[in-house]
Amino acid sequence: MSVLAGACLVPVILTSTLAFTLAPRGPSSQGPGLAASVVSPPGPPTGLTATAVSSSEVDLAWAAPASDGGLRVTGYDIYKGTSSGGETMYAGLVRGTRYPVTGLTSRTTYYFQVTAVNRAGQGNRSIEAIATTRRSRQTISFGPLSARLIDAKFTVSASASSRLRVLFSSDTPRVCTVSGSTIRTVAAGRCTIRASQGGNTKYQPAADVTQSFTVRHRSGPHIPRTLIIVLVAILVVGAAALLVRRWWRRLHRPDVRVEPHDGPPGVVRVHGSGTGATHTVNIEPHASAGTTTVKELEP
Amino acid sequence: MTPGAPAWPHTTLELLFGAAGTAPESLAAILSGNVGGNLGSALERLPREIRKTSIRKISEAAAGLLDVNLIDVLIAGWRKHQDLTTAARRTLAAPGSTELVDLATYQVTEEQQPYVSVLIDDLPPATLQLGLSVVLEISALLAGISAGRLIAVHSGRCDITGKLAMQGADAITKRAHSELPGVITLGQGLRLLPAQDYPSVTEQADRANDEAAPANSPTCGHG
Repeated sequence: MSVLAGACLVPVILTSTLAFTLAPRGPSSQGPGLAASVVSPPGPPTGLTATAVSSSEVDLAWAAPASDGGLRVTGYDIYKGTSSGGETMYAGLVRGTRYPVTGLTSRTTYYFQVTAVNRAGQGNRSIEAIATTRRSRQTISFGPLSARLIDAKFTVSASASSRLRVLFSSDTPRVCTVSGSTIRTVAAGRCTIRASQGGNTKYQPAADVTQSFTVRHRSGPHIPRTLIIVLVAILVVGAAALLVRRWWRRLHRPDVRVEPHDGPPGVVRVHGSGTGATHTVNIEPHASAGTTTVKELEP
Repeated sequence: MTPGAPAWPHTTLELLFGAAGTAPESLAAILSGNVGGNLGSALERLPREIRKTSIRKISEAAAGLLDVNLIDVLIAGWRKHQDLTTAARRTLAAPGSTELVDLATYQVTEEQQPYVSVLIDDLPPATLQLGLSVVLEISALLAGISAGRLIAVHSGRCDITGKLAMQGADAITKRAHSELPGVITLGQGLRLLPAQDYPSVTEQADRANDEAAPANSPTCGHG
């Protein structure tokens, strides 16, 4: 590629840059003279890989180009785009063969290319590397729960950093059940409530958070609340019906009087009114003289 | 109808209904269920409160009619017992003599048909017809007789059966049994013959004794 013939400079037509160097010739040589070489921009970097490490970062790695163009590679330019062939300059003169691309949007596909640069210029772009950023992480905040009695009904709350809705479930359905965010204790024991968030296109599923609490027996005999309500209702209705009945009977009670009769001894008169009519009942006992007989049963 | 054994009844009322004095209430319960006869239909026409009060008063009147002293029944029976009256005449004729009469088993039966008439407004009179039957069956009784009077009773057994019928239908049947232990003296004695058969000087005392004796006589029904 280089031609050096004594002190004579022979022009060589090359497509690449022609560089000249002047160097003293050693004793073994035929004396001082000019050394000339042809240099060019480096070839494209090889082995470009893009690895998404988070929702906002992709790590790029590549290998030095197979040809440095005759000059030391001074750095690499990185191109980034969201469509194939649409990459634009992202970072220049990057030293080394690794580079973290940050500030990316989650769950987005990015296209990357890298070029090597030497003093002769910028080489061709590498082949494209593609990476899609991950979904964002999220966490759940779910505070501790206090002990409860059997047949208690209460609501719980928890929040996700994504602000997505948190779902609840019971790990101990024999002790407690869940409906929406309402917890109901059904038996004595240890109740464990699990808070979950499954994520969406932007957010990864959150790690479940559990909270446990103790469900205790009531101090007295356990009576279902429904039964108590029914019994109280029966009592109230019964008492009301009794009061109405007594009031009705008092309102319509006939005026009943028992009076001695002016007739024979023992005769009484029941005199009453109240249903629009007056009634008189004379009661007179009549004794019987009676008959006494004696009969021998054995001779 | 309902065999039972009330302990030592004094009266037919106690025999039939027990000693707790609940006879009027028991009778009222029976009458409230089914009076029967013309009284039942007559009472049906009355308003509830008046009917209830009337039944209570009818029951009280009926209970009063059924309150027969069992001692009186027994004495009435003795006065009709031929062996006793015969012995009484003998001892009356022989002052100072005493006879012990060993009586065979015998029955004293008392039958009564009292009734309560009820006049409601202008309706025809209605009637609660009662039928009372008391049978005293006495056995192993030894009677001591002096001066025409029963002066002592020596041992003996007594079975009492009381029956009550209302409006012609049997309503209650009760039984009781009594044992007479040892000798029971009867004070001045019970007169067994008509009053005119006794000397006049003692008539006044006789009456007093006749009135006092039943109450103090623990005979049949008074073990």
